[in-house]
This record gives sequence, C-alpha cells and structure tokens, in this order.
Amino acid sequence: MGQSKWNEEKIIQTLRDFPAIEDRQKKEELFAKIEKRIDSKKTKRMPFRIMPMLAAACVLFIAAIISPVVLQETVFKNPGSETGLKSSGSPSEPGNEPQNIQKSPEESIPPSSGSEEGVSLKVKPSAGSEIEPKAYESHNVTYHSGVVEVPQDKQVVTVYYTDSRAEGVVPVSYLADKELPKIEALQQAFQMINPDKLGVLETVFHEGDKVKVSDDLEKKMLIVDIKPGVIQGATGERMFMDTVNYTAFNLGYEKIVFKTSGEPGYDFPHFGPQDMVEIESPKGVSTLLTDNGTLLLVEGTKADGSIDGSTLEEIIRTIKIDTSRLGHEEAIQPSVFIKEVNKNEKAVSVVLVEGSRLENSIMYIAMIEAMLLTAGQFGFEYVQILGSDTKEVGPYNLAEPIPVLKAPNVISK
Amino acid sequence: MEHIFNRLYVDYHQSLFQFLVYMLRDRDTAEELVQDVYIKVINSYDKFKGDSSEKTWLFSIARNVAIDYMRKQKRQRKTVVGSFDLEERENQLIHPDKLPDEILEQNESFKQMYDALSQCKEDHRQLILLRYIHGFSIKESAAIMGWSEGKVKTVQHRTLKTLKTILDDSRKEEELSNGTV
Repeated sequence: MGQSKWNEEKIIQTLRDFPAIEDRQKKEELFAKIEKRIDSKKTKRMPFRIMPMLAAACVLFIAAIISPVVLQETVFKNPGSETGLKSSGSPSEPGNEPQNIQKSPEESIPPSSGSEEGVSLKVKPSAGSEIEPKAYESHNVTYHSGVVEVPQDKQVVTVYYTDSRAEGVVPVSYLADKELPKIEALQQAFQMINPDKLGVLETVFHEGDKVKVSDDLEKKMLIVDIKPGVIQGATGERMFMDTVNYTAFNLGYEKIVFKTSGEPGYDFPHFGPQDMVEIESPKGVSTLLTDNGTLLLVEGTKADGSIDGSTLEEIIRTIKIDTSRLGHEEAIQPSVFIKEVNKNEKAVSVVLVEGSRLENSIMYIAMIEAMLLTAGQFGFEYVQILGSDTKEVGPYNLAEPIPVLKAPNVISK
Repeated sequence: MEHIFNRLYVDYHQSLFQFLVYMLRDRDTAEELVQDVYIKVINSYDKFKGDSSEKTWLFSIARNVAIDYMRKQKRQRKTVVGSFDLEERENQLIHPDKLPDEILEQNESFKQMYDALSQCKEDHRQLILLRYIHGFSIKESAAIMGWSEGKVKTVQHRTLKTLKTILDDSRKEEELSNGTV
C-alpha cells in the first residue's frame, strides 16, 4: 500500500482551488423573483379589505394593553427581590402567579416595555401552556423558564432528552411532590413531559418497556436494567449514556449500575461491556430553538465532544440564543454586552459594557438563565449583573444578585 | 431596494451562491434559497449595525437560511434516536449529493474532496467552506458561526484531520477494489 497522498497542506490547497459555481439565473431574473416575492408578502400582509377590521382590532388591542387588569396579569415578578419573596414565596415557584403581585400599573411594566421602541409586552405568559405562568411566548416561540427557588413541598426532577439532531442533551425539569421516592418521581416526570411537544427526542432510557430503573439509595446508585439489543448505533448509544448520566447526576446519584434483563452488566455495541460507571456532571450551556418553536437551554458536551469554552467565563461569553424565529437576523450573544466576568467565593458578577440595554424579552430571559445555569454548574450560588440600563428582564431584577438556576426548562406546575 | 440588491449582487453574489451550493449540496435548492437570503437582507438592511463586516453579516444570514431549510427537511423525516445511527441516516436522507457540473469536470481529487466534505458534520463542513473556500479569517468565521475563536481553531484542526482520514480510507478502499494492494 502506498503512502497517503493527502496531507493538511494538500487538503487546504484543494479546497482553495475548488471550482467556482456560477448561478444560472441572470441578475435581472433573480431580482424580478425577489421583487415579486417581497411585493407578494406585502400584499398578503395588508389586504385592503381587512384594513378596517385590522384597525378595529388594533384599537381593542391597545385598549387591552393599557388596562390595569391586563397589566397585572402580564407583569413579571422579581425572584431576587425581597418583596417578591415575602409576599407569596418565590416568584419562580410554580403556582405563584405574577398576578399575585400587587404593583401599580407603572411598576408593572417592565422597564424596556415602556420604551419608545414599542416593545411593550414582548413577553407574555403563554395562555395555553401546561406550565403557566412559567412559559413565555413571543413570535410563536415558547420559552419554559427555570426556577431559582424550589418550593418546600417539591423536588426537582430534571430529565435529559436529545435534540433532534442528536448533538446535545436537553434538560427538561419537572417539579414532583417532595415525598415521592426518587424513582417514582422520575417515572412521573417521564409521564408528564411531552418530548414531541417540546421538539426533543427520547432515547430508549425513556421507554419503560425497554429500560427499567431502580435505585440503591444507600450506595447512591441508579440501577438501569436494559433489554438486550435495544441500544443501536454509535449515536443512539452516546445519547443514551448522556441522557442517563445527566439525569442520574441531577437526581443526586453517584454511580450507574447496568444490568441486562436482571443479569449484571450490559454489552454496549460500541462502549463494550459495562457494569458500572461513575456519574459525570454536565459542563457547558448552550441554547436550542427546536423545530416546534421551543427555546430550551442545553447542557453538556456536544456530539463532537466539544463545549463552547471550558471556563465559566468562556462558556458565558459564547452562549448564543438562536433568534432566527424572533424577528432578529442575528443571534443574541452575551459577549456583545459583557465587559468582564468576576468571581468571588459564592457569586459571579457579570459586568456589562456601559450603556448595555438588555431587552425584556424571552431571548434575554434565556440568556440570563443560561448564565445562571452555567454559574450553578461551577458551584456558585448567585449571579450579579452589573451595568445594565434595563433593570428587569422577565422575572429577574438585575439590581440584585440572582440565585443560580435550580432547574432549567421547567414544564410543571 | 434595487440599488441595495445590485450592489450586494456585484460584490458578493458569486461567493454567496457558491457557499449555498456547497452547504446544501444541491444547486436547485441554492437557487431558491439565495432569494430568501436577499429578501432577508433587504428587509433588514436598515438594522445592519456595522458591528461586523457586511460580508460577514450576509453570510451569517445565508447560513441561518440554509440551516432553517435543512431543519425543515429533517423535520419531515424526523425519526426516533436509538433504533439506528441517526448521523448516518441523516446523511443518506437529506443530502442528495448530486455533484455540481463544475466539480464533475475537475480531476478525481476534487470529487474525492467533495465527497469527503459531505461526510463531515454539518457545522464542521460549514466552517471549512468559510475558512478555505471563501477565505474568511478565524475571527470572521467565529462571528458567522457564532463560536469563539478558540472553538473555530479547534474544530478547524479536527475537521482537517477528519478529512484526511476519510480521504485516506477512501483511497485504500479504491486500491482494494482495484486489486492494487
């Protein structure tokens, strides 16, 4: 067999010499098509016959917006503020609806919503959501925000799914009753979470007829009993391992024991035989906008084993919120705003570039929660955001330290 | 509107179209999607802040348009992970791998490279296209991909290694099938 004729230099040179590919459409032809499509969109948007109806609808809508009742229903509650915490428990506690907060209409409007840019009520609780009021909707995108404080009678069950490209694992949290044993709480979470609706995928871990889970609380072990041959393909295997590993980590287990139909060990097609593995904590946070229009925080490494950054600062700076469906052409990235990230024993302070004006919209809520989740991964307890002109983003009061996220993407009451 | 289009067309169209063809591996789809890119650009031209170069901005939009299209394609073929290797299946299902005429007319090295690129992960392929076919710098590529510069360097290095492995493997297979080993 001869020597390889490919080396890095030749690969790069071949790529550089790749032939140009000409568009067969003529410039005028292309412009005519574009113009036609732009015009047709305009026509579709504003058909003359619906203008009077539209005008009436606008009047009603504006009237509704300025109604104090509506304002009360759409106000955000500040999880970090004393008022919020004292009045009705944590605002992040499901069941503590925003309307419980007695604020004046002026106070009710998030700072950016009263701006000249007309961005009022960009974020509103999703009326039809199963997890009201924790889901926010905008431009047909739903964001299930996290909680920074868990109600005393609840326990967090964070179950991991995969994204539709099987590149990363997505945590989805459910708040189960505290007295439920962990395994029962996990099974309840499996039942309550609808991955199809969120736009994420199950692995065989979630299929009760293929995988049975139990535990040994004394040894802090999650026991996963798998039917032979149900895990196939390198991707399927990796995704299975990641979803089990991170789910187990969040439930407080330290080891995973594998069994095959009750017998010790499982012979994974690629990883080989495994009896027991030590659980690893997820590092790295990114975001995902699913095909179903759900914006989710994603944790852990990606399919290629990479994460965006390895330090807290790198991860925070490289978080990207896909805003393609939110009317923004470019993704929102905290790095645009961040001047520096400082750490002390318990808290992370994120100093923004002077004059940064975060918006009160779901992508910025997601951005802040991604920071809170990252800080939590690194063992910090609070995040303080300094230097923002905007003082409230969603439920977060930026004037005060915000507790790290205890559960991301919460979908339960 | 026309003057914006004319200028962008003169400055970037060739490169933009080529990016879409190599990204989507289908000329017809690229012809369709390039219209979407211009529509988005024209509609949001006023909002362009100049934080990045115009070309970088344009390619970010093109990349997002192509990704949106591919997502829609995948959604139509959505299936459950675990029953097979999803990456493999996606490569078979989504990409028609019709070689553009311009590649067909070239020597074997280009065809092999085109095929090897098809086997890389989607975003890794995009990065290689940006870096070596379109000549974007590390910084510009990072802005288009929404990655850190460090990640661009890592992925670039890894993908070049992957390409070498794929190309070497395909050469070995070819030699075996030709009985030259």
